Amino acid sequence: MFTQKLPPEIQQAIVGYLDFISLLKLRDTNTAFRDLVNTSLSKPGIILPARAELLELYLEVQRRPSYRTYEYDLDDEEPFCGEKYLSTIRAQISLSAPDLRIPAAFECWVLEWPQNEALGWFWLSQLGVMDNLLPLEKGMGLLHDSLEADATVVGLFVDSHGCQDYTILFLEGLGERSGKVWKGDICQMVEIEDEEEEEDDSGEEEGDNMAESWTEWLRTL
Amino acid sequence: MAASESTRITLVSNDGAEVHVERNVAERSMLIKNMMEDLGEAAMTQSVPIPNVNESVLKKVIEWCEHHKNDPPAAADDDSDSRKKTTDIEEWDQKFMQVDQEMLFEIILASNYLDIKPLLDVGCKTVANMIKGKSPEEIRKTFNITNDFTPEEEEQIRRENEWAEDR
Repeated sequence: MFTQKLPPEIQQAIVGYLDFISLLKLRDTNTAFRDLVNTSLSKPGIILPARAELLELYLEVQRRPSYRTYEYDLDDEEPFCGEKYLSTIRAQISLSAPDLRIPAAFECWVLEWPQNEALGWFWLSQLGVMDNLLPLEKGMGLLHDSLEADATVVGLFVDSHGCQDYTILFLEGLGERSGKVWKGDICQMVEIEDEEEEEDDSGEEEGDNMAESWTEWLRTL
Repeated sequence: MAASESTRITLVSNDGAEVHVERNVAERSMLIKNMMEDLGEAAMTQSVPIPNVNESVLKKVIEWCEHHKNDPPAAADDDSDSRKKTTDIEEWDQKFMQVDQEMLFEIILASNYLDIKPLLDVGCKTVANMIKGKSPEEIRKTFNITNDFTPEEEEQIRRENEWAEDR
């Protein structure tokens, strides 16, 4: 077994080649491998930053009391293609907000997350995703919301000033308005939206109600 | 003596076997290349001890070097390149790596010691590919390891990863 045979830096190099799901699987084989993945995660430059971030998010989310597993049967649906989805978003961005970049962690999520599973949040393929895209120029690039009142929601927000900062939010209990921000700089994000709204109000349609209510809701936090 | 491409040098494995090899093949190893430069002319007449590698592994590594002797040198930014972290392996290398695990790990260790970065990468990718797409149980079987989690940890994992069970 290579945790005994190979020096740590080589073991970590191997871990660096694993995709998100494989990292999770390896963690669950035994304590040596679990330690290896955890160590690799704690050192910068071993696991791709976006993937490491996603993994940390996942591990954190998993520990939360509200965590649960959703299973979806996608047999009837058109298979979700991450590449295609991303290229659609890119096309949309290039038209509406050329300065905007898709965060690497989001791309990693789209490409590496299991396609017929959602872990306490919604996987893209569940939702007729294209319709669910909020206007990018609002500074709320990509938000996947739940229609169920008590569902867990993860929104991934892209600031539209063209820098690569982004925020992944893990929000619990949206229905009761008792949600918590799991991660990210909420103040900064709201500020960005304010500016955006001031700047871009003119040409916009009166807006996406969902975006409005989210903005409002976020302000109350 | 002209240091032509066909100049041969002699490597000695840790089990005392002499392996004769073209100098430019052996110099796929940065360790050997640096030794050659340090030794200068003497390298042509002396044998070069490779104390960490046995004969069968050394021959295997030389086989790889032979096949890859004309590869262009790795780009200077190969670190950022490897950041893409693809585990694609060219066909010849895939076949080359079809060895038992013991040998695979020996090749990885030897390429690390001999400083043959591309071979080390291929070795690591090969191991990564042995993990990819497998369940924890399949990974255990692959590497012949036992599940040493306590029942409590086991239950925790089961709860966390119900979704992953049959994937």
